[in-house]
Amino acid sequence: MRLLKDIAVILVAAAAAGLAINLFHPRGFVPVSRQELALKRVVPVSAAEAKIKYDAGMALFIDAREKAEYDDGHIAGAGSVPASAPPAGAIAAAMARPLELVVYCDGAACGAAEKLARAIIGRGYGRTVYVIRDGFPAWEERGYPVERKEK
Amino acid sequence: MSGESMIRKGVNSTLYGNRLTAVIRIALGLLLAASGALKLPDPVQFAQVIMRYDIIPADLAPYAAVLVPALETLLGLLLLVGYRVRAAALIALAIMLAFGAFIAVNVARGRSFDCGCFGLGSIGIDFGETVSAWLVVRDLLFAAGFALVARAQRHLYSLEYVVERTRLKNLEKVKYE
Repeated sequence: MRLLKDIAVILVAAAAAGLAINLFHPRGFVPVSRQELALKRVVPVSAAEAKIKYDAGMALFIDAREKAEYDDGHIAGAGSVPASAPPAGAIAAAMARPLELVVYCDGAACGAAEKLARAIIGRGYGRTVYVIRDGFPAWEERGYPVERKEK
Repeated sequence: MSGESMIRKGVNSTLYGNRLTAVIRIALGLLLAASGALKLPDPVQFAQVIMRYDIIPADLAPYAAVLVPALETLLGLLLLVGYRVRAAALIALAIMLAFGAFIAVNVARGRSFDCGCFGLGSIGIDFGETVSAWLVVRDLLFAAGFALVARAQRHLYSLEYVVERTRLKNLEKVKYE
């Protein structure tokens, strides 16, 4: 009986402490809007981590750069969905596949991959979208499979 | 004394609560307090870790992200100091089993991502530990440690023990002086 009381006291004290800390916390966020967190479901991964998904065949790679850049060289097997003007239906088609989505562009600063990832999540995609942190250059540099359009 | 009975004696004394039990209690307490305290500064990051596991509904994740680190820290401190040890160890045991189950579910789903273990990401340490069967085993080992601590009758080097001993000493004095 005393044990149960102790457990209850500890749980209540922890909850009170947690909420109190959150109240005075500069980055505290309860209650939070779901939208805000949903936008954070874009998770950066390194090229090496993306390669693990690639090898496992568990991910669909999406090139968020312009079509011309895509034609110039892209991750083997990746689809092209330019973030600037995503073709109608391409995002929906990608979302329908039972695979994880890995989006990339030219590196950390390019922004296209992040933009496309958010667009995908904005369409109601319920899972995490991965973005290759250093993009295509890092992938190519490591000698991972690349495809080029024959000229 | 034969070897077998020595082993049995050692096991019994550990179950009752000897120095080894105390060391396990203090080590696990430190671990819990540290990993809880490291998660406290950045609830948003921990919420993302929780969301990655895709088990707790997204609406509840922020609350869990605020409550769990505080609970971990409190439990860790209680175990470390040795106050209300059994209750703290039982809650910690439940938490470890829950963490283990969360990881196991995601391993079964065939997913692989940074486990967010110990909140180390918040101080820039990144072991890149991804969820795996080994992490489930490790959580179960921690759980076993907490179970041992919860089962023990006596906790050396703990506040509880000191208080109880002082009380008993004073009882004797009252009786015999």
